[in-house]
Amino acid sequence: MSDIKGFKYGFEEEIAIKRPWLDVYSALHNLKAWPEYLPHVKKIDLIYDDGHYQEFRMHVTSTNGDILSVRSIRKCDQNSKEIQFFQPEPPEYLKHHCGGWRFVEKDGACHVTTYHKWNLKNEIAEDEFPSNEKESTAEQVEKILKNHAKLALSTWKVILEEGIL
Amino acid sequence: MIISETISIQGDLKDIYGAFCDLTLWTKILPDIKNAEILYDDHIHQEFLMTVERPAGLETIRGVRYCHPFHTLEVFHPVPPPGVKYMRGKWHFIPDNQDIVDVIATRDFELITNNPAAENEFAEKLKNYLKTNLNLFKAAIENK
Repeated sequence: MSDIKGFKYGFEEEIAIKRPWLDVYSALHNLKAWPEYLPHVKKIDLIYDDGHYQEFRMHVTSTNGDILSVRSIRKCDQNSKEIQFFQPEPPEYLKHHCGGWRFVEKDGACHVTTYHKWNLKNEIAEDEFPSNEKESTAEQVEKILKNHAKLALSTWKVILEEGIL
Repeated sequence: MIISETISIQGDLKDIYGAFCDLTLWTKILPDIKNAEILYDDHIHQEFLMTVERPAGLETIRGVRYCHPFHTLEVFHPVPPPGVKYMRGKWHFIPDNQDIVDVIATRDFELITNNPAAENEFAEKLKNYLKTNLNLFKAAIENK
């Protein structure tokens, strides 16, 4: 799924977590427990969960302290060691947004790769993140999404390696 | 419980897959579908509302689909039908080498109450519904 087409922008980030892959997969799968472990996740409203497909609304603290509400739909496939997501109501500056996590066990660690793909809603994105001499609109959006992804991965690494979960 | 129905449709794989993938065509092909509203579509993921004519009246259902051109469509209903714990399924598109595509529709469901007789009855109705719809798609594609 990480080779999905039709998205203009994307990136991947990887981190090694010294835990069996199923522990890491399970931690990311069990979203009801996230508010206990992830400081920026204030609340999860679970809309649907049959173990394979999930829909939920997550309330998170943004960088300026506001609470943002994000609805996600996920497909969790333990056999292919992958969790995919998409946001049917992405942030205003995005037209589409999807991604996922892949889990590979090697050298005594679980290597988690998170990937994001998106398309911009150009007018709104350019208005919200105007190009400047240092960065284009697209680069600023990528930086935001990449910083969130890196923060999430490093937080999970601490939680799982320190035995908090 | 998993059920499936299969039909062979003459035509190009991309056209056949496309007919099942394009939700706006459903109101033209399936007479009980009164309206289809696309809430999100990035060509891989779709979220939609579909208004269906049932014996008890009009029912609007929400669905989510994953499109894998040109071999599989996956669907699940985050709000399953009344009495159903979950409802999900797939359409597989398997071409042979003579311009014929086998379309296999599967549905995987569980009722809220553990009642084998009710489950079998539900499965039979669902199979008939799938069969009818597959035949309507076949007619629409082959006679266009």
